[in-house]
Amino acid sequence: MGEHFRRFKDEAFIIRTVKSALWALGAAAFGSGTILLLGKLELMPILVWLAILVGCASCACGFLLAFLLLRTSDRQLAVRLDEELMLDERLETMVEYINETGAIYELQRRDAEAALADIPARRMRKGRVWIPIIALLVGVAMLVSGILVPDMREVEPPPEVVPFELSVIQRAGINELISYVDTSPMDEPYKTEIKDDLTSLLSALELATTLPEMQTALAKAITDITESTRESSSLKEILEALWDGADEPTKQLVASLNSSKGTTYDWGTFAEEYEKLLPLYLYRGEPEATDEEKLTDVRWLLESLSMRIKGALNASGIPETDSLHSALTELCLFDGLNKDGERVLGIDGIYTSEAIDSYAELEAAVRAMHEALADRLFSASLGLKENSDTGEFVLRKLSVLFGVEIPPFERPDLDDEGSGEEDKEDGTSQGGGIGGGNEYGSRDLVLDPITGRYVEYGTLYAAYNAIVNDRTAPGYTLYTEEQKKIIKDYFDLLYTGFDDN
Amino acid sequence: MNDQEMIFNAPEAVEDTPAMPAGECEAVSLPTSEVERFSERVGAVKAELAKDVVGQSDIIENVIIAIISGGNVLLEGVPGVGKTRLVRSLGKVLSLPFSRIQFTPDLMPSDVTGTNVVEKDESGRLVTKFREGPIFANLVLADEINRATPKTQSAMLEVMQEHKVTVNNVSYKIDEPFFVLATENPIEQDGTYPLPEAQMDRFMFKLIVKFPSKEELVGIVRMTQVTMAETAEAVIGGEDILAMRALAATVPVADEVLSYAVNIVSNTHPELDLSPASAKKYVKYGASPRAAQGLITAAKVRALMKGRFNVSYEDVIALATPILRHRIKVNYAAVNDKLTTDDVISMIVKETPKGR
Repeated sequence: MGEHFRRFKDEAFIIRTVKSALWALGAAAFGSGTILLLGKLELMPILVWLAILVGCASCACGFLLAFLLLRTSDRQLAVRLDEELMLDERLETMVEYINETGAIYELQRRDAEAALADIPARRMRKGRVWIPIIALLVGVAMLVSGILVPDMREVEPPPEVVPFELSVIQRAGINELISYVDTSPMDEPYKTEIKDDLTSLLSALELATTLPEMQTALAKAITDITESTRESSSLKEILEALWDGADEPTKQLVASLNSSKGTTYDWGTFAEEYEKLLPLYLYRGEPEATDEEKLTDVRWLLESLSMRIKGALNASGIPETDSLHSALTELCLFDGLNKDGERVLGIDGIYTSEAIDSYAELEAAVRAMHEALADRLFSASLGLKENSDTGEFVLRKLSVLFGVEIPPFERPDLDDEGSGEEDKEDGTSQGGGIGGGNEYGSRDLVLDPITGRYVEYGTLYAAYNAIVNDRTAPGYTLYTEEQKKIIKDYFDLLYTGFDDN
Repeated sequence: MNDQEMIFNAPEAVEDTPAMPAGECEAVSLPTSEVERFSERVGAVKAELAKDVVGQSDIIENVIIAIISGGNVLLEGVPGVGKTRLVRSLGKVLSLPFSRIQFTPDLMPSDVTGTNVVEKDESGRLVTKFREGPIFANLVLADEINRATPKTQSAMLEVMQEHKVTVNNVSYKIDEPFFVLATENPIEQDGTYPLPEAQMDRFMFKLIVKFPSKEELVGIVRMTQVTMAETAEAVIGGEDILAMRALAATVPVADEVLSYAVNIVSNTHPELDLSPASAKKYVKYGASPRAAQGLITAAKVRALMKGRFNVSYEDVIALATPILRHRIKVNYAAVNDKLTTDDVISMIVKETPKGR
């Protein structure tokens, strides 16, 4: 092909490439804009990555398709140039006979090339360039629409921000709680944990300026204090360890320990249940059995109980400083050899006495052990109870200070039989809720600060409430009416609506 | 193959005109100078003819095209417009033996072709000898051909088509180049015999010689006041014409241009489905395939005369009317609409799309 015709071929190629690029850009913009617009109209999720992907794919496909469709053969180009440049079909003839040899063909080719020689390639018409330009504008319009059209999804108005400022009473209340915990009998490390939680809460509330910030800080503190309280008073691990594969006496022991109502240990129920255990560790077989047989039987029971308790302690993970852990460890202290040289684990006081070689003496020793265990468990449970009382008190106070509801503790029920079904008939709550109205059961044991003894809450409240009623009676003039109201309101708070039966 | 030489056979070389009556041509050289000489020769012929014929440039050009193409021409014009003078001058310029046949109603075929006569030879014996008629020339002027009887007209058919005469089953070839230029008087139609379609088809062109313009008439009068004799001189000969014919035959034609020419001829047939509306409305009979052959052959010559080496749409369009005007017959609808044959041909050409 001649040099001049090649110039026009190159120009045609450039025009074709430019048009294809315009189509490609238009397709890319249209594709991306369509995806965005569909997302804005909620017909599909708004996926920017998909819009980009579709845009790139549309660009590539658009370019390839346009490039293929816009291709022209040499003959088509020659026909077009003949018409546009009025060359009397010189180029068309040249292209058609390009492979012919002969003087006339050579002359014709030269004539055709000469006709093109003085014509610049840019004179060639660009064709309908306006079509891809319009396509590009349509694509850009679609893309702009996809970007600028507002999201049709419902936009919730931002919540009104309620300001918050820590009041004097609230600040004082928290400081009082810190002091209370510090002077409480709560075990470590729980005491320190709760004090730190309260200190952190105070710092956060000093900085909080909105209600949501206050609620966030308070929720965190409540969660942490609840967790610490639960851990400090939890029998869960040891009870689960004791329960698993336990014999009947042990299960009854566990059920007793788990049967407390509300948030504290109901010593009364515990004691009742515990009393039921005693016969289980005495010989219950044939009356005609020899002493030796009875001794062997009961010693086996005791040994089993000792091993079970020791194993539960090891599996529980309860700190050794825990009072319950101490009590039960002491119970299972005997780990030695009997008079036959055999290693035995035993309840304290039982195997150390070589003098016990009659069943009667063993029975007496078991009874003594039973009472000693009761004392130790009672003391330990009191410790746990003190821990939970302290924690629950803190939570209750926070609820009152900030007007929030705090969910009650959930006690683990290992077995429906042992969970004390009779407790459910009582109107008091099982979960030890704070702010739920049923906080202390009437039969829950609380420490009387005057006598130093534990009494039932209902009895203690009634005694103090009587004093309050007397001091706030209309004729009593020591306090002002305003002071009387404060005292009355406070004692009303302490009244949790329990059944005094 | 050397660019300087090309051996070909003229009828085969002209691929699109297989039925052309031209005879074989021997090997001819085809240097670039040959192409230049083509233009020079044509220019020389036009210049010489201009000495004797005032105006009529289109007629002269078409006649030259026909001669180089190997075709015959039918000239139609009123008396005195220079038809005979043109042909006579042409004969001089082309250095071709010229013969004029005045057709009359009593003209016999043998008066045209020649006949056998009985003569005494040197020994005194009576022998039959063929005496050539006036047709035996290179350039024949058939004046007022439509006045001859059909029988005499048919005698021209064989000669015009095959360039030979057959008398008593003996054929006598006429030397090449052979060219018939016939005239018709459109005024005197009484006592005339319209040429049959078959004979009309033998003419490549039908040219209408119009009355000269005022300026041309002034020129004619001034020229003829000096002398009535033709002053043109010979510039080319028969061999030159054959060489030019051979060269023209090699001019390439693009397929689309060829299709265009063919479509024009096809579109003159109203019975065809694809013919245009004008043909269906105004044409009674369409043109023969010879029209397509002649159109391309003549277009090639015209292209060379215009300095091109390829046939263009313009060449085809320019030659469509003289090629077709005597080959198609318009119907009464055209007469009713006052449309001439040329008008109908123009409409058909316009309605024929270019390209494939």
